[in-house]
Amino acid sequence: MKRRIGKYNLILTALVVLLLALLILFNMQEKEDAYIHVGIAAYDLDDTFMEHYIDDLESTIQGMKIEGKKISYEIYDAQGSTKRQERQLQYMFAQRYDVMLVNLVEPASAANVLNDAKETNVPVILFNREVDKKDMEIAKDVWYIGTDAKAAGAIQGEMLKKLWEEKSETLDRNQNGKLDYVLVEGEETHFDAIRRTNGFLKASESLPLHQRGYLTANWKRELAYEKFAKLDKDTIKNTEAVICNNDDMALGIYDYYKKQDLKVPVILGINNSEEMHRKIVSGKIYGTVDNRMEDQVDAICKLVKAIVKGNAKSSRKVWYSAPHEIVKRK
Amino acid sequence: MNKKKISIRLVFPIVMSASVAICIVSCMLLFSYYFSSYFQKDQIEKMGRQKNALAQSVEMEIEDMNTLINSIYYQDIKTYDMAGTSFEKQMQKRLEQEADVLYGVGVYDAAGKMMWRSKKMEQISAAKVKKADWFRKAQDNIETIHYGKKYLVDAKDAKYVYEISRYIEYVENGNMKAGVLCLYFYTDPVDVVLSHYENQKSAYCYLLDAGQNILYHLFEKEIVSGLYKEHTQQAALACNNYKINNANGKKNLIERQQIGYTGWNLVLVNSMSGSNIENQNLYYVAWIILLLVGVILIFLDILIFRNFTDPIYRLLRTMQEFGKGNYNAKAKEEGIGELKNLSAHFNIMADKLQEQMEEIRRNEREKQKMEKKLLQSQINPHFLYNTLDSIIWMIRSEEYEGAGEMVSLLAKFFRTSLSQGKDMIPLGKELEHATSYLAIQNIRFKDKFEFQVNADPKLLKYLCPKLSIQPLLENAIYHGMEGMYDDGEIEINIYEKDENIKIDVVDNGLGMTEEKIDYIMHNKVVSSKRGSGIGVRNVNERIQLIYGTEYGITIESELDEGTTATITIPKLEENDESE
Repeated sequence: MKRRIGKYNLILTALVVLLLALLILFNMQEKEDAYIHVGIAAYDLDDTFMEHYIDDLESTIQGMKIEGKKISYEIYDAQGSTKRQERQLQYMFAQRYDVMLVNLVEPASAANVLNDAKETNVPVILFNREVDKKDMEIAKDVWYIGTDAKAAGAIQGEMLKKLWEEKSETLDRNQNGKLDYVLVEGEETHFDAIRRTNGFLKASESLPLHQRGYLTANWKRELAYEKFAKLDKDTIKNTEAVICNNDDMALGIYDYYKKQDLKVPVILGINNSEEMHRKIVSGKIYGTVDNRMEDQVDAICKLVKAIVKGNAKSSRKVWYSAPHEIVKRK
Repeated sequence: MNKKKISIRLVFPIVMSASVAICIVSCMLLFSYYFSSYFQKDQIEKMGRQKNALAQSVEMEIEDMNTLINSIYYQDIKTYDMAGTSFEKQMQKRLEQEADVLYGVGVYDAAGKMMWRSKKMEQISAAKVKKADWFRKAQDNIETIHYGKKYLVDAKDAKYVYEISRYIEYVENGNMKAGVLCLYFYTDPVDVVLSHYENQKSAYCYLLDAGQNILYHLFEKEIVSGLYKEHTQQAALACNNYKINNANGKKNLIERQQIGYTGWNLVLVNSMSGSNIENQNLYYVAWIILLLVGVILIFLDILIFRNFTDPIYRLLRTMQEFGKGNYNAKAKEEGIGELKNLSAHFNIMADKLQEQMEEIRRNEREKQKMEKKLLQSQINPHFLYNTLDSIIWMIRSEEYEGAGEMVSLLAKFFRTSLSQGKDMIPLGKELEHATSYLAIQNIRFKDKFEFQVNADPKLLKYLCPKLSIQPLLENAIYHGMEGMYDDGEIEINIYEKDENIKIDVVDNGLGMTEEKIDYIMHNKVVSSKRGSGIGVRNVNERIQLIYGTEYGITIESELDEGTTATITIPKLEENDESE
């Protein structure tokens, strides 16, 4: 009898040891992951700027190694739909990524996303589309990386001011002593659009500006073209400058002038996209502002590294790249 | 030894019951613990879901407001020149459309000067505007809409509004200018959403703005009149996900969620004691079920144990009986598996033992038989000497005829004595032997007695043990005839009685006392040195050995009258070779 009890004890201890070993093994396995998983949510890859942004991000991330681990990433394109992005984000949070890079469709609904981030403890880097400061406080591990939009707008204003000072007579085509312009804003309520306009407004206060027209084109080339075409002929004829919140819309305006075979006014964009850059170098469009997308991508990568290494606490919650002007050099 | 006497039948069920009880109790404790934690978790989760739903609804309302504000801003203010008449028209139209949600609108320039206002809006001085919270915040944060305080605008209908502002750029005479837009939205849509939660027992919610002023509270009137004070505010703002707060002896579950965009905080307070009562019944049910299970388990244990031990006890009893000497005791072969085997093996063992004992007994009997045989084949040499002496004397006295008869009788006597080594011989042969013995003795004793044989000739073919009559005759001669001066008489009667054969040897001698009969019957006494050497007792034992105890020899005697010795044997045919 005693020996039998001893036998049972032996079996029991063996079982317990086996269980512990399995547990430890499972835990080890969980930790032994050769990759760092990053989820990227983009608001719309049809947006040429975003497409470039994500391409650049992809190529940088691909070559990156953190503590000997490669990065495995997945990109989710919301195609401009809030609902779709909501579903994608829910899926992404369920995937338990090491870091999530989120480009929100609807920055006003950031609270939902950040509440999820708080619950799941997944670090989130927001980029390109900034959210309200109050919402940023909901979760701890949240950062924003973007561009100094106000400065970009201000650069636009400065460019126009310089141009006005240097050759106001050629610029003032209708000779009314005022700079007649049309303002083409990006997406309504978009922080960058508001700031760029605001920056431009502040910087150009001293100019004798006259706003001939105003339109919002949701960052899109075609939309800018269409909406601009709807302005009355007189306005278009008298327009001496078109201030756009981004390059795509600037190109749309340029398209309109080319199509109508009219003299292209001073067009200012922001972003310094490839096509825009070519057109500026060839003198077809006056200028743009480079908001240093590469710097933003670098900043994102640095932040990802810091988060993975666990020393992101000291990183700034909001980081802006510094923009600079691009005009044709003489 | 005494300690071991404690019956396993008592110990085992007690131990089992105790362990079952321990199991049940620990189960119950664990169950209670997990149950309560589960309920708490469930409650937290439930409340979390309610919180999310409420927050989402509130956020939806805010989104609606945002959409309206942006639409006013982008489609009206930004598109129309404020100096033109179309702006006024557009704004009036808009206000009419949204009259049920929008109380009023005011547009101010960067210096705080009112540029345009709807009718209901008050005229405020620029200095006052510049100092106002909503104005400064809108200018500090140009990107977003600011949700400010709550105002009572219509005391009669108790209408409240939210003071909402945002930075704007408007065009006046072709000049784009910065400014601030101020809007008064009715609080009703948000209040309606939140009031849904009050229907629930012991639960309420309230809404705090970014400055922690109460925007909505179920007991708002009581708070205003000082009858109620919200205690959970501090705890709510400190809590991360949920918090269990003990205040005023009440246990409250508090959950908080920040409403997006506005910086508002939605707080749900749920009394925890209320929900526990609802779960109390479940506890009872669980306890009762577990107790029932326990009782059933113990009952089953005992039942199974009974089934288990009963065969053992039966076996034990059988063994005890066996030990006492009842070798026919057999254990019932029943029970489960090994127990059945145990009984079966015990039975096999008992059978073996019995067989062995039977064999030993048989061997003993055999041995006895051999002894008896040896005895019966031993003819007392004295009888031979005496007879031979008599013959010699007869020859010397020239009685040749008598001597010849004597020798022939002796030969007959011995033939029967030997009878080819057979143990059982027909009664006729035995009778011949007896008569030849009597004749020899009669000659020797010089016709001192007469003898007579009355035998039923039908019975002579039946078997009887060899040399069984002769010892009785010897007894009759030596105990009955000796010392008799009258003519003695010896009679041999063979007859059937009660399906048995009776052989009487009757003499008319002196008779015997009871003691003597007893002595003859029970002692190994040879009646005389001159006799055949086989005692009465020997014959009796032999008969009983062969036929059983109901057969044998009985002796009846009366002093001076004579003795009758009777042999009783069953009818046994010759061909019936029993042994």
